[in-house]
Amino acid sequence: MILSYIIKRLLSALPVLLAVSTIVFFLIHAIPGDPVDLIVGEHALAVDRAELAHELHLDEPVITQYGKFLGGLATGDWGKSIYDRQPVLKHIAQRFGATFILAVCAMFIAVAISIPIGIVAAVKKGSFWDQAAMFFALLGISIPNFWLGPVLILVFSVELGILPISGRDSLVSLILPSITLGAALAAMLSRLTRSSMIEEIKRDYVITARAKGLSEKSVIFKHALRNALNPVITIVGLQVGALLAGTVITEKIFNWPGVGMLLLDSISRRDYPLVQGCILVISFAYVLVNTVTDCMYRVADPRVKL
Amino acid sequence: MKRSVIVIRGVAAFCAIIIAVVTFSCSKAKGEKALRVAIESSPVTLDTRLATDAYGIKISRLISDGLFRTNDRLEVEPALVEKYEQPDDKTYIFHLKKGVKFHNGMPLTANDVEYSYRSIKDGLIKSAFKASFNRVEKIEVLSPDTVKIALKEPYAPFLTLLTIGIVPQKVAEEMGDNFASSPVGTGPYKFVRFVPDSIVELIANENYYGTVPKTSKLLFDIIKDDNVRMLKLMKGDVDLVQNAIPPMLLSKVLETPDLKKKEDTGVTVAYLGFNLMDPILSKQDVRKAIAYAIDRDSIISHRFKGLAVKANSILAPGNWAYDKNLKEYEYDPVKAKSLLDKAGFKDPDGDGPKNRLEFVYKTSNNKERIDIAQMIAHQLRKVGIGVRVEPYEWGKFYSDVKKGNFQMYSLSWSLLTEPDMFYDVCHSSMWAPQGVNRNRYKNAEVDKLVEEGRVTMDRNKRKDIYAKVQEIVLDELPYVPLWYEKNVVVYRDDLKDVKLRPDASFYTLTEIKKK
Repeated sequence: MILSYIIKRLLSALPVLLAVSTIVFFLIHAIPGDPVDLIVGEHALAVDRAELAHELHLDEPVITQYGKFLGGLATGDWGKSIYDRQPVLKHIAQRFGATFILAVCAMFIAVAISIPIGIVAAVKKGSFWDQAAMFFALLGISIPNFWLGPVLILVFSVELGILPISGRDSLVSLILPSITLGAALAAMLSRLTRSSMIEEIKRDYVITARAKGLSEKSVIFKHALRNALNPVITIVGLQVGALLAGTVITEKIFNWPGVGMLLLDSISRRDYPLVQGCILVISFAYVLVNTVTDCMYRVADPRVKL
Repeated sequence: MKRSVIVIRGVAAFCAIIIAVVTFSCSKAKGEKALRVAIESSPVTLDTRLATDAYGIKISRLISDGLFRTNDRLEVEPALVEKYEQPDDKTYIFHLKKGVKFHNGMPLTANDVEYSYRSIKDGLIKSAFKASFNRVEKIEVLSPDTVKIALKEPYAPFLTLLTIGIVPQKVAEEMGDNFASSPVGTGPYKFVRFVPDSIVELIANENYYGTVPKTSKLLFDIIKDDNVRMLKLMKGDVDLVQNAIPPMLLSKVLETPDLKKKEDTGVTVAYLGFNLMDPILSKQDVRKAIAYAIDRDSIISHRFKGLAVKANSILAPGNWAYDKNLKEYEYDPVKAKSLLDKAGFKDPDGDGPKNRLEFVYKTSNNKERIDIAQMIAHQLRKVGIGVRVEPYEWGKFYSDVKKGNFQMYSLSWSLLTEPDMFYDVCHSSMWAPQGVNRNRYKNAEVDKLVEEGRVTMDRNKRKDIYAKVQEIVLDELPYVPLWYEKNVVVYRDDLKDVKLRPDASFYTLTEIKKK
């Protein structure tokens, strides 16, 4: 049931991916700048430039290039990077894992922090704990990651010396970039969990549960939380997609060699096939994550039909 | 099974997969005696025949030696060549050093030399050096260690081209495009691994025909963020940073007690380029007024913290062809105003807000470049020149400069060691987009001189030719040389024999010893 649903969803995503790649293809080709310059340099003879442009199909009309690009995709050929002639898929395979791990860890940290905070804030609504939690949530939303990252490095790496500044030398290298990337999401989810829980706690079934003599723990975790989690799961799903696509600043600060940096470099080099490849993979990941999110509804709330 | 148990097991399995993947993919870069050097961008390629970016050239030439190399006086000296003869101005016969081996143990032969240069000349690989090798008529193997190269016409700077590294024919042919990601050469360091945007690892070539490097392992940490690079150096995660700490951050770095600094004049020269087709900037007096209106001392002192030297040529003072008698455009706003008057751009309202003339100054969106452009624009406004600074993304900026879609722009020339560069920058046949005469400069005398300069073999005569070129160009100002950026190396005090070369080459790393 779930499997057929996933397959159906992924198939229905094909037009979305096609639209995204079409828009990106024509946009990237419309930006001024010639990749031939970057490869053969300014000293190159006209004949060599023409030869290279021909080899890369850059001398053909954009629409023809687009047709060839689609044809390649259909046969599983994503092309080669214009710059170093290595297959696009090889580049992406080298980088996507790093971005995926960073995004997932950021999401885990955000969920692990935000849901308990949201529950406490909702259950103790109006108390000191509620106000403190919401103050930090506001702070988390307001602080940009290009500021938070360097500050975390200064405190935990330079002053305290307990975490590495950057790189991927060990598992602990993941901690600071994940917090930097996940802070805003944690803040947003705390607020969402709190408001969603407050709504649920007021409902009749919670009053009934309490009247039946269930323990407060059971009422909160087994009844209210389960229903309160649906909007949280929606946001988590959407945000994991956004995290995958939005790691570039964090990747740069922490020297994390992910697909975000690859995309940025490819754009500045006008490496058209690589830009296309990165966008396609990010879009597909986005669609996939949203599909998984929809399946998670079912786990959280069995009443949901897929 | 209960749903909650399934969920918990699923989450646990997922965590285990993540940990396994991270552990597997994390680099194990820390070596006991490794010299860790932080660099600011990833080399584009490590194939010496293809590399044109600064880090690509510097690192690939540690891996692959050429027939010649540039020494610390910016002169070309033999590397893989034992001796060479020049029967006439167009013919060179090179005798290779005996017993030189590639990193994979194969002996270096004349066939490898022939293949390396032929692969560029015949377009077997897409190299930016192909146009330069078009001057070569024929490459001929005379014996296993002798190769003859005949040129179509005399070309004085030819040996500079032969600093491009030699690759083993068999390996390069077998690997094709993959050779760039796993290069083999005869250089002082062997390639170990390259993770783009992360790390380049090299180990010393114990069988090197020259002096074996004193540090057994070299790690280039690619750290794009200036602050992170600085902090890693301060914390001791890297040992050395060369030309990659912004001047504004340098004083903070040097507060760290176990860090030292060395500085010296470099060969990177920043310049202001003018579009000589523009009705305003085609006037020589306007260009001179701009040169006099820029207070370079003030910019060098405030923006560069003294880490630059005023320039009056695109050749650095350390270059053998640099003309020591060149004049300077000292800051003189009064003279600038009188030159503008002379050019017909009178001040419309005295000390009022109106400008004498206005134009656009394009630059890249690099923060440092924008800051400098704003400082120059501010200084020009003081003499009544209204300048609108327009920063663009690099690809768009570069494309505009090539197409002549600009009035004024700023850029730098780096790694300039051969005065023949004046042919490319100033000869009327080299107008962009076909060449690098981006300013569309044309002067018959300069054309004649730079043509003569490239076919004259006598260095003293060449020196006189390029002195004249520098004098004319400085007077006509198709571009204003602004400053030479100093080379700065900051390193931990447990490193011995840290040196700087004018071209900031990484050859100096081979001499460093880590205590």
